[in-house]
Amino acid sequence: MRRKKVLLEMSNEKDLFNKLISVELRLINKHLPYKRVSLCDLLKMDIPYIVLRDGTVHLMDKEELLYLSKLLAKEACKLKIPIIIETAPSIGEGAYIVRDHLAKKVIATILGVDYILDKPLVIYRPQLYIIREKLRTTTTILFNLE
Amino acid sequence: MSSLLRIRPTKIELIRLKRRRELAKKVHKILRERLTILVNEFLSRVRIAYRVRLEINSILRDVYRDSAYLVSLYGDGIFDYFENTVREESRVVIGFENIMGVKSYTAMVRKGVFTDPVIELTGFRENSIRLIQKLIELGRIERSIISLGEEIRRTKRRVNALEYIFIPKLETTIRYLSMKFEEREREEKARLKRVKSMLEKKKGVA
Repeated sequence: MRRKKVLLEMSNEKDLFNKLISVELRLINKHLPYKRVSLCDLLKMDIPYIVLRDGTVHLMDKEELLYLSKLLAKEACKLKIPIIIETAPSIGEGAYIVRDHLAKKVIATILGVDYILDKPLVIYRPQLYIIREKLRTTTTILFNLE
Repeated sequence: MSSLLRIRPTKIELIRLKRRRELAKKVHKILRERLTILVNEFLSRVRIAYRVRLEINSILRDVYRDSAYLVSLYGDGIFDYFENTVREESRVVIGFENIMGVKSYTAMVRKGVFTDPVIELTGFRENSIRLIQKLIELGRIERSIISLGEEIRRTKRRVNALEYIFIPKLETTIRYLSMKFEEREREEKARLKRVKSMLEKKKGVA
């Protein structure tokens, strides 16, 4: 009887831990888009939106889209929205990277920094806050597990 | 609450625990990062809300001034006229915005179509539309502040649970199991030595 009780307690403790970890891992990147949409397609929409992995419809700010199209001019149609900014635990805490070529151009222009074509652009937390303030609905953060 | 996890003291379990500890540390790091970002989003939105409130106050002043001027000039009927000259009404589109996994309401105004034969009415109408836009913006920001606040509280609890309960518990259990295995090894060595010396003694007697 006692052995049964101990075993039950053991499994409960394990379950709780596994549940917490698995739920967190499952939900951590649910805010990413199901499919990225080009800037031109979004500008053509009456109400610009994208569908996220958790099924929610995320509305985009039209002013932000117009600002992006103004920044990129001719290349605007090639930009995929939302711009994904990844956390980079390998570089260190508070470091983020942008891989997409046009997204790098947009972010470097806003921040007034240089970027190298072949390498991802590394930005730091204060810079991320500036970007997030300017591009509230058109940027998103990917939490990297590596 | 015991500081040790209730598990079977086997080597397999020790390996599993070590793996689990690494995973827990990773999740903890990510959650802490998320918490920092959420707190900053929260603070930036509070700052924006304050700024928008100030803007609303100044626009309200203009709208009151314009409406008082219009009433004094054309009488109360001007507002009925104002209503009649709207060809297409302004619309508010309500949807969702996802901020780092936090779902919050968002709204945007789609400007209507008007014809304003009275020149004074144009300024008044522009200001009132601006006021409505700002009010909706404020509503959106304040709604997101509430949602972010709730999510920050939830995430903080999770981060603290991992930092102060789960990870220390795992580490204590791993330490306990490692010590237990080391102790077992030492016991085994001592036993072997004893057996060896006994065998040697027996050989010497023979």
